[in-house]
Amino acid sequence: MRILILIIASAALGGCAALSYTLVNPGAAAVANASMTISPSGEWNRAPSSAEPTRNEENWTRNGFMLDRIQFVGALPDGQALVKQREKADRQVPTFHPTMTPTDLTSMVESMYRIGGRAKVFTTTSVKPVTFLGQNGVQFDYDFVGDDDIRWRGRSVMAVASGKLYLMTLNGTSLHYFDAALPEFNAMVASAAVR
Amino acid sequence: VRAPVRWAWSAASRWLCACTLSALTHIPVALSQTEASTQLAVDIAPQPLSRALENLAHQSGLEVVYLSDVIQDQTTQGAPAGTAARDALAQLLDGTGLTFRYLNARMVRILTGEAPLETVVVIGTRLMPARPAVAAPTDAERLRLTAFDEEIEQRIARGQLLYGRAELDSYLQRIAARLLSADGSEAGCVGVRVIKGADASAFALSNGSIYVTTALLESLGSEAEVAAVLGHEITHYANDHVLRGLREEDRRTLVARSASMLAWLAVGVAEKHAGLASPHTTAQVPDQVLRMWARASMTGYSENLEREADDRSVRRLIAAGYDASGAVTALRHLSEQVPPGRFVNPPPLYASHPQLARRLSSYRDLLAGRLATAVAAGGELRRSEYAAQIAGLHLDQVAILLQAGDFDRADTTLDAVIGADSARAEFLRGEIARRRDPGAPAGSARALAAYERAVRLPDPPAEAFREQGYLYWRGGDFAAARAAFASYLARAPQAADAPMVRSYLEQPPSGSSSTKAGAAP
Repeated sequence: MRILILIIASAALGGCAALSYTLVNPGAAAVANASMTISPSGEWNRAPSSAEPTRNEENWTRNGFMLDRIQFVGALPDGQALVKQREKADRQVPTFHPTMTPTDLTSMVESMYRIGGRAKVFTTTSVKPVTFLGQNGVQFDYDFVGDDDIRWRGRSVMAVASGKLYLMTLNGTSLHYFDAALPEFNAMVASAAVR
Repeated sequence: VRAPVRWAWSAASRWLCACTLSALTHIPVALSQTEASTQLAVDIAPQPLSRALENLAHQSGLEVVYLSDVIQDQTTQGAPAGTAARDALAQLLDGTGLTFRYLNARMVRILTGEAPLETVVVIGTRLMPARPAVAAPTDAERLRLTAFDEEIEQRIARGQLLYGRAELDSYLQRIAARLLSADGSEAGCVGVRVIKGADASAFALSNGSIYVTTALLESLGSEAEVAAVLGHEITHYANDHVLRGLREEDRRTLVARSASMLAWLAVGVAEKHAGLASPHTTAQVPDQVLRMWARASMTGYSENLEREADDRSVRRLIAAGYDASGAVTALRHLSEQVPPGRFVNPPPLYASHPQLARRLSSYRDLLAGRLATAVAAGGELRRSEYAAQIAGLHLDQVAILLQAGDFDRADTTLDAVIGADSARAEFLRGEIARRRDPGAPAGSARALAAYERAVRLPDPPAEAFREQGYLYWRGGDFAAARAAFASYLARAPQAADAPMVRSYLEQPPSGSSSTKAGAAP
């Protein structure tokens, strides 16, 4: 009986952990369903896993999601979308394919904001080659205005490894928060490795 | 024909003496010659008569109007392809006990068989009725209206929604001025502007700003149709519909509050009676109820105000010398754009009205009834002038739909563009194929074929070369890819993605062993 109570209590505590924000300390951390490791230099808040739209995604924030957000997508397989979408919706975010060109990848991310995130204005500011997870990847910089009329800036770094998509994105309000988090984000990108 | 009927000859001569007209039969015979030559392209199958008449209107452009009680559950045997519109209509009505009569060259009225060919007595009076008396806004109401207008206009500005083609805005402004002259209103009291939009919509603010979306303009076929839409929105402005809507909303909120209070009190009384009363049970109005009412009030004007706007817009249309069939055709075109059951977002706009079919029926009633004689004089449609003004808009609309991820409608819109063989049209065709399923072989092949056609035509978009380059590279044709990338960079050296494209050119001449299809070289 004691063992049974212990199991139930453990499960309950585990459930609580999945329902609340957790502190991420500096140092190596496994992210996005443990598909990648990265090494933040400061503290971040990890969103509860129950709040994530897909199992391949994980989101962190330092000052609250209204101000900044780092999104990790790890090992997204062929045929899946970056967002959860209704099957019969007439406006769909494209699904990922490993044969996507850089334009396909950037327009997929753009669609995620325009369709999934209801961005009213979305402007590409730069598309550059980058090494990410030891692969040739794409660094995509943009800004957008959301439904709340707040202007955001963003950087998505993505690469295809073993036929799966790996993506890290920093979004922050164009006033202060994007610039404040960018150096650490770039360091995290450089530290990222496939597990 | 029901007499007396209110009408006018024109805007310049709004007053008439009493006069008589012979039955309408003589006017239409000659006018109908043009329509009689229009033939059905496809069969109209046996079906309910109302649907068959929709089909006839769709195929021939002949608008059919009738009082709502004339057509109910009759069915028709249909009409075969190749039949002239006039004969087809006769065949559709065969055996239904109904007849028809041309009101003007483009509009025909359905009558019950026993309707007499009577002499119509027309009492001349104002076509445009006086505006309803509305109490001037209080200071508090004025503040709310101003705040609402400013909020909407700021959102348009922040969302960079203005289409920004000054000559198109001016053209629409001239149409509005022509409509406003119908009742002597000042031409500049409204300002019309076009905004980018994937859905067909139009709306008026209390400050006189009228906005129409590119999707709406793209779906209409003549100046008379857009005049009908503008006339509708002008009425919303001129007849203080925003203010009246605001007052209705306040009344509804009050009713909601009262109803909610009564409900809560009833619950309280019941609980007390059952001995369940808690110290926390109070007669509060849940915020949710108020929000729900506020939202409901924004999903459009009340049916009365919409009816008033429809009525005045048709009168304005006729008085301004436009063919009144434009009003029916506009709504028919818009209802064809909106899939059944789909509620377009954002809501408080012309095409998003959930009762398009009911409004279409209301227009038909109006034209077959009170305004039947007024439309006999016909009027202008100005199809070619309208087509010239929106010539460049169709492809822009395809790009807007593409950006919105609505590939089916982008495809349909592109297919409907007359002479869509320009480099930009081919590039957009390629973009639809590529974005529909990025990376998939079949879509990529179609996209590449379209890009190849685009770059062979005059003035191709630089992006067509870039996409061609990526697809060649992925297919292993590195020499062709390099040539395409070089063409792209020559045309767009400062493009945001120039560094990415340049990185491909910096690879060894044979490509790269690490380059499988995908993200980067």
